[in-house]
Amino acid sequence: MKRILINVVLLVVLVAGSWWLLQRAAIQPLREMFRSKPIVVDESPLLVQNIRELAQLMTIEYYDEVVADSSRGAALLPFPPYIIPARQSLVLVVKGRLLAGIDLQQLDTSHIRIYNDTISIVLPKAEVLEVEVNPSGIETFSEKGEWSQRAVAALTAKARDQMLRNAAAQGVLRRADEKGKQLVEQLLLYAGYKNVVVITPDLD
Amino acid sequence: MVQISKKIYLAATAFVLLCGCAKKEPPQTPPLLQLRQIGQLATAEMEVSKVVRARDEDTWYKLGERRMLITCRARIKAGVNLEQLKEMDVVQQGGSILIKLPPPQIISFSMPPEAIRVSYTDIGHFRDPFSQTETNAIMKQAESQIRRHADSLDILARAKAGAITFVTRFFVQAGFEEVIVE
Repeated sequence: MKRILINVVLLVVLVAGSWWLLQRAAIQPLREMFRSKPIVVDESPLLVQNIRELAQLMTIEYYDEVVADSSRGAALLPFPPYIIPARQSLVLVVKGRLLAGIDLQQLDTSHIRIYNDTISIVLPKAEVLEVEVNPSGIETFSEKGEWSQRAVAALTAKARDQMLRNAAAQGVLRRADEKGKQLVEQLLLYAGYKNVVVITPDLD
Repeated sequence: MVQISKKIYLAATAFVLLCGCAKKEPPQTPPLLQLRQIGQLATAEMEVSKVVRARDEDTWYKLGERRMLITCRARIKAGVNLEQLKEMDVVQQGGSILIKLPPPQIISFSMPPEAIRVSYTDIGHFRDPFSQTETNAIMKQAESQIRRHADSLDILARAKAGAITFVTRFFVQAGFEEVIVE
């Protein structure tokens, strides 16, 4: 009985000791030695393709996270044992940021009327000005089989469409119109106009 | 003696069990407001491209190497935050107006997946092809490289110039004879 007890205690001490050593530097280099090295991405120059002047008043920022998945059945193998390989599937969790607002480049003198200290301005309709879906916002939740970059792009486009639908359901464009109207009103009041009338096509 | 042995046994068991319970707290992500009102005037857009060179050849026990070339494009928009504009930044006197604009900043960064194209891959005989998870990890590194260099692209200076042009035109259309934008 005594011998069994000693053995148990020794075993526990051995396990605890190993665990302690594993946490310490003695084993760390060994663990490090078998760790896969990360894929190296070389620094390469950026090429400026295009520069453009804008006048986009972004008034609503909308964040969303959607799940997009795709799967495809696999055919019989053309050689023995003719088994059906596992079904291939890809599940992505896509985070995105949508910016809506008013494109003020469409604004010209025909949209503005001035009478003494009163100004009226007709703003263009709000629209979605940018949808950001970047690699940093894409998480591969599950990947079975081989998937090309084109297939991933198609799946991400599906996620982006879902985001646009969600944003529309939240009334993003109406809110963008409201905020745009408020900003332009404030700017013109700062400029000294006593009466400012801002008309937005969908709100007024 | 039996009592002492029991105590040692219990203490050792408790130690091992407690070690098993040790758990790292998951990183806390701050909550994000889904919909937010902003007031940013984007005045410059730059489209950049990059050839991403990725290589996986440093793990000593893996036979063969893997290399990949990816071309990608990113769109960066910059401008000024009109929410920062206060009443004292606008000085009006008769037909002239002076406006002090806030400093320019990057407003949006977009690197759409449809603008990412794998141009070339070289996979060693004993290696697996790049998975989508790995390709995306490469693109995340490329994205942060582009973001790091965005400030050096002169886009902020262009955004400031664009903001001055737009605000001047806007206030001329609004009836001012002299518009000074700083």
